[in-house]
Amino acid sequence: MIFLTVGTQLPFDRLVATVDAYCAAHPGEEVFGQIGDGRYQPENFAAVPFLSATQCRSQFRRAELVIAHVGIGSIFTALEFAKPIVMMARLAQHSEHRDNHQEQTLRYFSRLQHCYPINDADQLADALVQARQHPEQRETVSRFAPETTLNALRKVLA
Amino acid sequence: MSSRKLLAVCSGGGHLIELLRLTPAFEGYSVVLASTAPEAPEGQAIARYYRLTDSNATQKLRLLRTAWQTAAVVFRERPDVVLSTGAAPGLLALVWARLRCDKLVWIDSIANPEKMSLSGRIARHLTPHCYTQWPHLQRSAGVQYLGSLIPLNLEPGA
Repeated sequence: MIFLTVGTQLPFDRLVATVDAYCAAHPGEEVFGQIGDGRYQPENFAAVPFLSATQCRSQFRRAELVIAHVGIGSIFTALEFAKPIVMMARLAQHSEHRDNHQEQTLRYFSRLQHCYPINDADQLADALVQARQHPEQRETVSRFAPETTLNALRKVLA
Repeated sequence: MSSRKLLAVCSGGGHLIELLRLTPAFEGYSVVLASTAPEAPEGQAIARYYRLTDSNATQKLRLLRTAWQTAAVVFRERPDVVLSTGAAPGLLALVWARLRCDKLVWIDSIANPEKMSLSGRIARHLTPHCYTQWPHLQRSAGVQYLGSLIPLNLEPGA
C-alpha cells in the first residue's frame, strides 16, 4: 500500500490529482490518501480529509512507501519508519503555500537516498520504480534528535 | 523543592514533530506543552496540554486570538523556560515570556534551509538563545548553530 499525505494545514489538489492520474494508468496500485479539505476528489483511490496523529503514524508504519508534500512531519516520520518518500513541493504561484520554501527544503532533502522529488505523474511513476528497487538497504532513524544536538540543548537549559 | 518548569510552544504538524524530538533534553523540568494540534501527543511525559488557535502573519484576527491564548498560558504557568520550534504561536509566547524575564529559546525549523524564518528573524531580537539547524545560517546576526534534529548530513556540498 502507498500512503499519500498532504499534511494538516493546507489542501494540495495538484498532488492529489497527480496521484489520481497515476492510479488511473496503474489499476493494480493500492493507494490510501489523507488529502485535506481540497476541491479535487480522487476517483481512483480511497482517501479521507484528515487523520489523527496516531492514525497517521499507523498508516506510515503499514505503507510500503509514502507520497507527500515537502512537510517536515512527513519527511521525519518516513525516515523514522525507513519508508521511501516521494515528494512534490507546494508552490506559491498555485496558491499552495505562502512562499516557495518547500522547493528549498526539497532541494536539500532530495540529496538523501530514498527521497524522490517529483513534479508530475510521469515523474511519479519513475520515482516509484526507483524507490522499489533497493528495499533492503534502508536504515531507520531514531525518534529523537542526535545526542550531540540534545547535549547542546541541555547546556542551554542548564 | 519543586522542579523547574519548561513551557514548550509550537504549531502542530512538522513544528510539533521537531519539538518532540527534543524531549530527552527536557529531563529535570516539569514540561507544559501548548500547540495547535487537537489533542496532546500520546506517550509523552507532559504535565498539561493547552490547545492554541492556529494562525500566521496573514491572519490578523486569528493572530490576535493566539496572542491572547499564549499570554494566558504564559501568565498562568509562570515557566522558568519557554522554548519554541515555531512558528507564529511560539513567537507570540516568547514575546509574552520576555516581559517576565524567563529564559527564552528559539529553534528555527529545518524547513528553512536558505534563510531564517520570519518568526526566527524576530525571535533573535528577543533572546540570545536563537538557534538554527543549518551551520551555514549561523552567519546571520544573533543566530547560533545548535545541531540538526535528524542525524543526516544535508549541508551543501556534502
